[in-house]
Amino acid sequence: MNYKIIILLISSLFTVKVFAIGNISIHGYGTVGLAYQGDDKTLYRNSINTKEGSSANFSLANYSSFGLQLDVQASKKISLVAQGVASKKNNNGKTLELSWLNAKYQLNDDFFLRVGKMRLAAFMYSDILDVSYSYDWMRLPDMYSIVPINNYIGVEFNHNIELGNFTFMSTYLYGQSKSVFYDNLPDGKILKGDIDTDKIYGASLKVLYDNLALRFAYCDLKLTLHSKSLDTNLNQLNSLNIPLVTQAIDEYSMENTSMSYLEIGARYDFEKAYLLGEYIELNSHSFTSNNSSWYLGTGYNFESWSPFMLYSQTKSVNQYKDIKTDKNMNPALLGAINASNEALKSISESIGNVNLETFSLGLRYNLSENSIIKLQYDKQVEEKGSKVNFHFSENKKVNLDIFSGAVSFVF
Amino acid sequence: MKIFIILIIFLISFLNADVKIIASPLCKVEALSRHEIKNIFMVKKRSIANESVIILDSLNRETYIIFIKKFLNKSSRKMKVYWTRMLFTGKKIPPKKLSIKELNSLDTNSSCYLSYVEEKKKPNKWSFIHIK
Repeated sequence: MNYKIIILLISSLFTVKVFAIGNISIHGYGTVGLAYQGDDKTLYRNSINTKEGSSANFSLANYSSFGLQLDVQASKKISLVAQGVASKKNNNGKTLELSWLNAKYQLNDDFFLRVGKMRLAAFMYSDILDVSYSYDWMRLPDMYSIVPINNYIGVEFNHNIELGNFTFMSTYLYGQSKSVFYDNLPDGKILKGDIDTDKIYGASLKVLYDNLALRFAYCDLKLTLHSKSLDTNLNQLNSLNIPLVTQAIDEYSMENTSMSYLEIGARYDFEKAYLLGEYIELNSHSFTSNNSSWYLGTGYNFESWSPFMLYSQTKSVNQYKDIKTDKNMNPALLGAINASNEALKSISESIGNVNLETFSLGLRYNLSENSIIKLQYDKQVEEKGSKVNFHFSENKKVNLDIFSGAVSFVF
Repeated sequence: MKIFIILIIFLISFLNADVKIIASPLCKVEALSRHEIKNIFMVKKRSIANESVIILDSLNRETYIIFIKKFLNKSSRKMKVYWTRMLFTGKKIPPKKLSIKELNSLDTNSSCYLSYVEEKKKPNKWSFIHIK
């Protein structure tokens, strides 16, 4: 990749004016970002949807993205939006993805309905995941990568109501989604898997009072997860024809299994500073681990620059419980069950396992009205078996020092 | 030294520039509360007392900054982030930004427009909005 051409191309965009003719307009956003961490036995990435990142080298893949949006106001009440994103972290595992493609019906000031493809607003900032210009950090906190999907095809209702000094903004959604994930083996092999989600039911409520914003979100979905290696291992265990093993595989199966999450968040804006935090619990009775994650962040706004810091912690609890054995069992059967327990436990530990602590410190500087520069240092501590980054060694704990910088812009 | 004095005078006049909200001739609205101004200019509401209104922002950066500070209590970065978020989540498109010249030549026969200008630059036939 020729970095000079990319930088020239991006810098030329600062001079591009918004395109608008009548009811049609085109806007865009982008980030050119570099990440560096020095451990060559670890690949630092910030999404399960990608296999690219920094491994003792400078990487453009972690943060760089470019988006283009077309808006059409078809009538007073009906509008259409299409947004394409070029990024190495796209949900579909490809460099190009349509992240928004929907029709909106605005019934009145307080109610609208959308049909099509939309971002899943699981967290405070997940609807503007790639629009790095709109937040101070280089990347969104760790919890943003534990929900296995970030967009869906379906229908969404939005309703706002004002009661005294309170504003209540609620969203209800239903849909389905397809995405991919990447995992690695200690020998360096990269595995690709598919995540299919169906019957996504979600609701969120945002309450605004003066400078305080509170957010609550709940979502329930049916998850199907396939990867070549996972399917092969489970088929092999199934072929043992041991009813107890087959029963355990069925119980923890990731074929149309229920998954739900509950998220709460709060942000308070002082005159110059802000304080915010979020908490999430993600549960599923399957081979996938249950996760909980929280973060707290703060920043101070000087005239054109803002220092910020953030602490984040994510923990996983393995769901798999060993098949019970008794002493009267046939020794051959006992041996097979013990071996199956080991294999199933190992499968369970390899899916959705995130044990991570991150401390971030950074600066945002306003370059112009439409562009900002960001610099950030992250200290990341990841436990053995955690699946956020790729690990090519058997180290118990991985300590990463990550240095990042980016220019983000909108037009 | 002369340049320094001119700069000081310019800065004082800039700081004293009084920005007022104006309405096009077709508008029935005569007065707005601070809360209504916030809702209307952040396009949370598109009508006042059943009258549809169209918001026009100022292309003049100084006028814009004075307006958002005085009436919306926001910094330019906060407003830019607000509109970026509204735009790229498909919720709202930011209001058009017009110069004084464009505001003067705007066809105001079919809609009610609300905007803001420095007091002395009010276009003909437009009226000032009183603050409740």
